[in-house]
Amino acid sequence: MKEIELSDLDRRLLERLATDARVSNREIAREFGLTEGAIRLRLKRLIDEKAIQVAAVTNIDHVPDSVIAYLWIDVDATYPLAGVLDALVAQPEITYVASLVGRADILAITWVRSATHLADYLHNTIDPIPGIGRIRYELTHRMIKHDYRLTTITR
Amino acid sequence: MKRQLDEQDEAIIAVLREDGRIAIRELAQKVGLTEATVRARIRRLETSGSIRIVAKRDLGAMGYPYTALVGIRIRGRTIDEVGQDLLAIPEVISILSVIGRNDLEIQVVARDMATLNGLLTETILQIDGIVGVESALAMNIVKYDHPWGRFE
Repeated sequence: MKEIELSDLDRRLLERLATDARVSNREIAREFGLTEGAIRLRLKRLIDEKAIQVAAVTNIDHVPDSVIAYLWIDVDATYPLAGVLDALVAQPEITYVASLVGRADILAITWVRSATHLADYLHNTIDPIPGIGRIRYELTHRMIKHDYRLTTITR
Repeated sequence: MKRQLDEQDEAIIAVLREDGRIAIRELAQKVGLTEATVRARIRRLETSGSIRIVAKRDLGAMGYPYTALVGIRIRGRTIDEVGQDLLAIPEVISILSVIGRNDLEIQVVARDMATLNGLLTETILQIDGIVGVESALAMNIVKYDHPWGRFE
């Protein structure tokens, strides 16, 4: 995705949403001294151009028994990578999928309840995906930093 | 304070993960609750610290198209000490301590390849206690939905 130049108004909108992302267009318009239509149009443009996304984030400290696992996946050379990527993206438990150079062909990040759950999940759900070769995994023990205000908008 | 989420909370959160600015009326219709109930539940989820509704920015649109996924091995210092040094590098957007052959998995973003190279081969390697790094470059990120965070 290409860098998108933000106008001063875009920046002010982002700052305002950082405080309260559900503030109404009418309220923002009142604060900025602009029309509601102008605010709606700017926000729509930012969202349509995939510069921003407004979404709920769950506090990981409030989720009991959650383990984040990194899955480093090698794909059989005879299978097209795209098919394996699509199958991983379709898994609701998988929150991040990227094709790589180095370390493995694909990194998938998944959220499981326990190490036992991960073993079952890998065996029953991921291993049967055609083209999946070797999987190495790492269990996350602690989140020191994760900037949830950054993303890659793919939808 | 922690509170258990019930099915109705989960249903509301699922919709808000797709569109955090959805109108209350539309959200109420989707989950089959009244507008007043939905409004009260969102407020309670936010004040109890269970969820935050945030504006997320696209890394590419911000001018950071490069991401490296870096595994780090540490000797002679604690994971937290090295973690603190990594926190000082703004391009390091995620730091997780892991169990496996690495001690930390971090994500590093950059505006261009030269900067990424400098971060991986100089800045990070200069941190005391880091004895090994292995890096991968993300070619194509096809899903990035991390629905969780640690609220400071």
